[in-house]
Amino acid sequence: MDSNHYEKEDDDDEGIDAEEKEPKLKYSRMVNDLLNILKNDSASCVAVHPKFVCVGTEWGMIHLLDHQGNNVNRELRAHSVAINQISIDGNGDHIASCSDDGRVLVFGLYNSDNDHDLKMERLVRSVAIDPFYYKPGSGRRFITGDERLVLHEKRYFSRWKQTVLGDASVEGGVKTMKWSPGGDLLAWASHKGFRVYDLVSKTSLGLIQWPTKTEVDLKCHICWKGNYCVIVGWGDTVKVCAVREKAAVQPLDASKFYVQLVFSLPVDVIVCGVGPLDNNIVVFGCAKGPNGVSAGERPLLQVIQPDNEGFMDLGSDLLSLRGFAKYAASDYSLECLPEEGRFVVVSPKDIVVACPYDIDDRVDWLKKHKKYQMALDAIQESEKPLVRNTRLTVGQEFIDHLMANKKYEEAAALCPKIVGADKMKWEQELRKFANVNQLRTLSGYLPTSHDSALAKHNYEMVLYEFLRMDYEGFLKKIKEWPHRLYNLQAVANSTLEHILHSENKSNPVLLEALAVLYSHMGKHDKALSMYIKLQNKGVFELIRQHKLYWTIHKSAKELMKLDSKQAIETMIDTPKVEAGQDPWHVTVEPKNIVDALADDKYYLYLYLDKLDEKKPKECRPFHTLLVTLYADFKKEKLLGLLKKSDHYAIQEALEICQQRSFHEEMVHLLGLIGNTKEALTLILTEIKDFERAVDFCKEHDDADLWDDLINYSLGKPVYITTLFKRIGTYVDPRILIQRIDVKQEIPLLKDALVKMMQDYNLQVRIQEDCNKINSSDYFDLHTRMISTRQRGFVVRSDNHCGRCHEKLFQKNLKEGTVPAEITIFNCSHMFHSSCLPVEDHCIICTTNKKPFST
Amino acid sequence: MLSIINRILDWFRSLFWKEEMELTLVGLQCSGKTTFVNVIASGQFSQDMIPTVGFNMRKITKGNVTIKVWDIGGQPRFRSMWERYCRGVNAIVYMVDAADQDKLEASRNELHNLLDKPQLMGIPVLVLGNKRDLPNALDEKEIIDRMNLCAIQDREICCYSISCKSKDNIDITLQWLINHSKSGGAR
Repeated sequence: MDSNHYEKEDDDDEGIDAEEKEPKLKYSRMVNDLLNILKNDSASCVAVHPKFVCVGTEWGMIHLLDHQGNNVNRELRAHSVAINQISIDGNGDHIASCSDDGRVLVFGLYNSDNDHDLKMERLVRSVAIDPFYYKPGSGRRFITGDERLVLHEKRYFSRWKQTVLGDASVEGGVKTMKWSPGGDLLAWASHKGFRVYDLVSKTSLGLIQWPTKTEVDLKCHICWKGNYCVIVGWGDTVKVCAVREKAAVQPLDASKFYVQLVFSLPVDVIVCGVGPLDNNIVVFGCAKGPNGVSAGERPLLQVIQPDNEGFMDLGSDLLSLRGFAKYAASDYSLECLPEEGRFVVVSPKDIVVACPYDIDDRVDWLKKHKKYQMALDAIQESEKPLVRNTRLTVGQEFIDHLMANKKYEEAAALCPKIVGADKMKWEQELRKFANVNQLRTLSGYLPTSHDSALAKHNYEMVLYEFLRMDYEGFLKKIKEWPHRLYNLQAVANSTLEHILHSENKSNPVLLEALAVLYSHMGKHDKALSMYIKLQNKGVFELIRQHKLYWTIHKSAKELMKLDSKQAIETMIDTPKVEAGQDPWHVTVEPKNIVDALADDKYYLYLYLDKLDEKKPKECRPFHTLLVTLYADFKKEKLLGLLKKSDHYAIQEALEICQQRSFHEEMVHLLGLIGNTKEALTLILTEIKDFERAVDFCKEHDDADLWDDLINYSLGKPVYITTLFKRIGTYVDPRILIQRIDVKQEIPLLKDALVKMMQDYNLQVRIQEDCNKINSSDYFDLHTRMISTRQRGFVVRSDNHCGRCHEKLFQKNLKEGTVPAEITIFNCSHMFHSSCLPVEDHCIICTTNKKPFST
Repeated sequence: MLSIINRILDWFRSLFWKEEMELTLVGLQCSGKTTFVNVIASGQFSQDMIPTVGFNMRKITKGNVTIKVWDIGGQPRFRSMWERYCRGVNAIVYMVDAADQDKLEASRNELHNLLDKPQLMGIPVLVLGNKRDLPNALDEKEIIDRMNLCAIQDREICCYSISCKSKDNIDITLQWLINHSKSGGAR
């Protein structure tokens, strides 16, 4: 039906009516053979069947067309004048027609077995064929309507029987009738009102009257909605009636049904046709003129929703039917297929088919009116799949629309919802965003999970855009995106190139991004150097994270420059080596660091100082170095180190101190190597601290040293005084006194001498007292020794001779021999007297003095 | 003995009982739909047919079965109507020109499109590969394969290779159709 074009009054001027109602119906004009038919003839009535359409004309022809207007069978010259009504049976096998020429025609489309040609000799306004006419044994019934309502029925032995069902002669004759699809009811109308007739019990279910009678003879329009609901339109009224079964059938009742008026709707038009559309009603009509009817206006197709108070207009379309200017309400009609919601609008020169908007049409309309969100919702809610539209196509249009309106953020947010996991489509969208340099907006919505990730070049495209336009964003994405999404090398190269070509060659953001890239690539050293170049403290985190300790020494200096405290911490506080881990990776060789920092003494100092504090053992090999460093940067610590450590080269240390004239330290060092003399000289000449010199001498207590000190002090009376005061307890003061020059004037000599004398005196007295104590001790001990020696002791039978080592007592009781003679010395050694060569001394205690000769 | 009684019963039944069936004949243009109708109706084969415009409606009586055939035009402009005429029929006969391999893909798409329509669910389909008398015509297996008939699982589907010209396999086709009349399936 693509070729078919429908016309509608509101020629879709976009934007004029922003709140334009969503249309309910779409229209297509029936073309093809119908055009030829209507060129010379005019349609007077139409009947529709799900499979075909019958068009009756003013010239009495019946044309059988398909729903596109193609002629199916040859046309049928049925009547001589205009056909009033056509009726088709349920199977589409038989057609009945009537005309003002007084003939009623029933003919089969496949065979002529049950054809019928009835000459009524009256104007037959209406005809209806039994929906089950095609069934053998159905009675082949049809009903004609002129002045009366007559049922024609085939009885036994091919006899035809006519039954008058109703007389309408006083009501202006039967205007129209419709058989219910179920076959048991007939709705028919006169100008007084309309009735429903029960064909089973052959009773009328009562008249429902029109409100008023108009002066003009208006057509009545009836449409069954199912078997038990009928919609009737006449004048400016639409009535909906339900045929219901009685709750309790009385014996007197002829029919089990009754008719109930459900809605009576006064409408704004002269009704030319009615039909049901879901729970709404389609009303086809012409606008009411001042005198009730107006001609030459466009007819109106309206969808109304009836309710108890009236109805709601759901949308109406003015139809520009061909030649509308010449026609009035009585020239139009509407036929419908209620099951399909298909409405055939008939005017003498035009037939238009109206169909409900299906979901595709609705989406098309919404798209056209830029209501994309609603279109998407409609697709979402739709139960059956769409033919022309998909969520994807509509979504893409929506995205395009948003992008055209520069609503990039919204468009980007929509992408994942629309595109989903379709990688091809993602790439399409990506390209659109790329064209307007809005990949950055989209970047946050790109799929990044492992299985939904797109091809790498897409992400690279995004990154390049960032690189061109937004460094910060670039860095952020680099950090945010898993690096498997893009080719690291390529991005790194581009970044590098970009840096090289940009004016600011050390753009910190780009450099950091580069560092991150390098680090992802496993080029940690490059990353490190990048971070260092950047002076970015993230480097320490990087080291810790990637356990880059083994490489740290390469950039130790830069790290120190960056943040010495953190650097040293990183260098020293290496994590513990876990089982199975290559220790090489996590340990920092202090030697490497020291080598690396060799150029920069200060950093070296900082490092070694800290190392010495934290890991003294590891620092030992560098103590000599540390001495130098302390000498340069932290003299206060030098002496402490010198005194504490014995892992440095003393000579070297001494030289260092000498160069820097660190006398204290030198003194200590000289003292260590035993060069006390020089040390003393140093104290006296350089430090000029005589007290210290004295202390030093006291410490070492060496006569020569004292001598030196005395010599040194000879020329300096003040020193002599001091010396006098201090020397008393160490050296004989006479040495000093004797060496003092007679003419020398010594201040405070008297006091000093007194002090010295007192000291010396004290010394002497101490010595005397010591002697006393000593001698008394001596005597005590001597007495004790004598008493010890004089003590008796036991000679046991198992004691041995000190010489022959035989037992002292040879037991021989039988013979009663006298024990041998035994000699015992005070030293407690015992011998056989016979064994001893001389009896005056013990041979054990005197062996060495007098060697024993055999 | 029993079969003779059955036959007599069938004959009586055919006297008083007429079977009705309705089927729709679709397929691309020039596949031989109208020719097929003519052949099963009267056995007349005609070489020069004019393309069907809209549709042809025919009733064919075979034994006690009356077959109502909607023979729908196969040109693209009529294809949107196919669904309408397939609604509620006893069987859909889909005609394929087995010798025109260029149009086979279009034919396959149209068939699958048609059978995807929810209103046609469960209606049995008979695919006929017509023109088997021509030298390069495909046989049943190839048609089943090329038309991807295996993918149709929700209904009864059958495929015959026929020739209207040499009246090959017309009898089995008719038998299949009769078996699918209103009570035919139960027999």
